[in-house]
Amino acid sequence: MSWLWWSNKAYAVDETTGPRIIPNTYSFALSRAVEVFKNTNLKPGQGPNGEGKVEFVSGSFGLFRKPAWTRVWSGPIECTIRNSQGHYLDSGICDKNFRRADRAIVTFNTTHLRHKNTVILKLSALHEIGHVFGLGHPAQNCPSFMTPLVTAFNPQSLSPQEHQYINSSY
Amino acid sequence: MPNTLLRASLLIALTSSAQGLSSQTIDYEELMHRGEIGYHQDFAPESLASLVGSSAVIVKGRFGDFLDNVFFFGYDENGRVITRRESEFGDSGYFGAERLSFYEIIIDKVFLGENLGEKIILSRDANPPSNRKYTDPDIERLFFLLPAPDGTYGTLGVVAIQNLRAGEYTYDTNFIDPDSDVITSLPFLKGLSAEVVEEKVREEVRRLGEC
Repeated sequence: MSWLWWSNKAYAVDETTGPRIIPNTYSFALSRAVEVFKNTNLKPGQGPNGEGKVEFVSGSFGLFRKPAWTRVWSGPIECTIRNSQGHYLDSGICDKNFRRADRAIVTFNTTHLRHKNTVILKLSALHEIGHVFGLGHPAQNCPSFMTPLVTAFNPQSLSPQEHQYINSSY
Repeated sequence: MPNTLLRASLLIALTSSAQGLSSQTIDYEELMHRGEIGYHQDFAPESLASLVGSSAVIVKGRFGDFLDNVFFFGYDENGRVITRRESEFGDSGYFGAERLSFYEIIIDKVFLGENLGEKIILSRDANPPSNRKYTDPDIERLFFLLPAPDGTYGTLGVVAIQNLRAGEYTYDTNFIDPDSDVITSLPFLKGLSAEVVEEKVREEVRRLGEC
């Protein structure tokens, strides 16, 4: 899976929280997260129009915004919609047949994630990539990284059901 | 004067009075562990203690002027809003921008916070308003706020702006989507008069400040 990275001018380089044995950066966490999806049928970027472009953005968005969020488009039409609390939800106007999503931007809010370790960064990346491919939120007690609350206790791999969903959808 | 310049000049005048904030006692992570907010879960405080404790500033006041709306790309290392013209990004980055609206808040009463002056600026992730239905300057409100890096203030969610209507505090769930018009009460404020709510807020602020 290929993916793109850019950061806003607040953090012109990849975020690093300090010297560690393994690099604690967004891009490292993302590379680990992307590995999880590699043994599925996903082929982002290989559609006839380059479908499957996933961009990751980090920036400082302040205390009162979410730690991370995902927006999805089909061409110029946004498939996600912002609710009254500022959350992006599936608007329901895209589907895998007639208006297929072909682009997503995942935003990480450094204000919340700056001091988080690689496990949390990876789980946050997994969670958002899961949304990119259409996974929703199961109950908090489910063994999945897609639960509404992401903690270090979440599993770091796809559940059999999630694996099956992705393989049957793409 | 262009809106952005107006906001900038107001901000310079106001940020000096926004220093010396009382800090919130319940941070975002704590709220997440309590299940009162999530990665994509709306802020749903379970008690007045949560609503008060998660705020750094609490004021009673009214919306003043709508000041500005910008394409928002986060804050830079100096706390300034990063905003760029569409042409600077082309198609790519423009897609990722949030819309940020700025409103003046005229303060009538301060419950929590120091040296706020008479006005502060509220920043909200929202499109420019087509009307002032949800920011009607005639309605008194309780604002439960957190500071933004640029000297403005924001909220954890729609419940953090409580509107005084018919003697009770309620909140609008429709700030961005005017078609889904719902006015709701927080369960722990439902049925209480405005005076009682304000006294309870005062008590919570006092209690959270105790050792």
